Amino acid sequence: MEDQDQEEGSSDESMPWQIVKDDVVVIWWRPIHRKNIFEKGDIVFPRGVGGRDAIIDGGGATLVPVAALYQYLSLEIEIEVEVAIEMAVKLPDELIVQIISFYQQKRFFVAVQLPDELIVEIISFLPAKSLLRWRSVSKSWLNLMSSTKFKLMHLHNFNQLNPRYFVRRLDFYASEEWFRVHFDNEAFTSDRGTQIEFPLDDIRVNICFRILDGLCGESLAVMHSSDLYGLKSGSTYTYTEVAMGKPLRLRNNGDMIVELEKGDTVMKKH
Amino acid sequence: MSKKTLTLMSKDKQLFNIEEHLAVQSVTIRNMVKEDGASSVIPLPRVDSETLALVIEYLNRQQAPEEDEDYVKKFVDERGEIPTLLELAQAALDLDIKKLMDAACMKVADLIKDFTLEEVREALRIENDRTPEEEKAIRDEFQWAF
Repeated sequence: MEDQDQEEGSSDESMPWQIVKDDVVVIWWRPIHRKNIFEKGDIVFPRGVGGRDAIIDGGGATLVPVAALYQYLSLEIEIEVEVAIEMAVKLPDELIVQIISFYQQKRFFVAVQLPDELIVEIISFLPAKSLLRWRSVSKSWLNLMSSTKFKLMHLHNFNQLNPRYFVRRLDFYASEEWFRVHFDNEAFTSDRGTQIEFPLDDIRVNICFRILDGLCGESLAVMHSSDLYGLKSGSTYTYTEVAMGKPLRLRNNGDMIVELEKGDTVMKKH
Repeated sequence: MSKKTLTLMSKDKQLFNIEEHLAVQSVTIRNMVKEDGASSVIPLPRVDSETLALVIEYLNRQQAPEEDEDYVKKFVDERGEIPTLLELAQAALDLDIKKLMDAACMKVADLIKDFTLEEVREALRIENDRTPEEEKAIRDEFQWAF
């Protein structure tokens, strides 16, 4: 309950509010003197996950799914919103506090588990960055993500959705080599929203690779967004930031395969 | 020639009629029809009536094949809530309607891609089976992704 601040008074100073946004009903518990925004000390019961959107700037308010309230009170999950509001009005502060700690102790979880097939399908469309961040979601999830089947599926699904090219440019005048990532569209815009000259001038040699990446093989070759692996135009970076200790395999439309090892320099002086 | 109609029954015992030639876009239904003619009611014990109504709406679409891709995208876009989309995806999985499932999953992926660990657990209903220490170890390994 560290979210409760000292302004939270006795129960007659608190009252539940109800707001409706985008068809999402949010039951909102706050001290009476507050303005119409959520802040620290408020307790918000969004109806389902969708409620999150309505209160995304919760300003430190404690969010508790209404389902947690039902479950705590051993009620059927499918309860009318009006009943829930009526119930919330009547609940004493101590009970609200108990429900929150009940929820936070994770003795609460949402009813039905989703089939693995569905989880795999959903996360195969996600960038590797999200997946890496979520590796510790659960053990079974890490197992799913580590399987070869999933890696191939991810490679196919994610890349189909986000076709990009890896551009290697050799500048003979400056004796420099550049690497950038560009979207596979007419504007050929780069991941950072910058543009390079296109068509490319003949002094510079450019090689485009379609990026075949993802969680392929054992290498966590993360090539989705340039800020991930430090490919910003005009700067010098090395692959130590990106290659995750394993070779990075890039392939163009032919069969040329370039493998970059950890420590390879992205921008080389000749 | 009169068109043959099938009856589907949702988890909460509601009945829905749909013309057979539209219903067989579902591979599951197609196989059932092939096997026994599916003259009686087809029960769908895992699909609630709200979701089934959506599936029927999708199957009943009057679209040229080349517009289909856009249609299914728009269809899921209009139902942009994660719980609804998950129900829809699950129904499409059960009924084996590949396009609808892919589109719903893609939409969910798009909605959750910036979620935190906790948020994604809640959205996809995953129970945390790790200790805080284990979680920290994994988190430290890929600190740059956070």
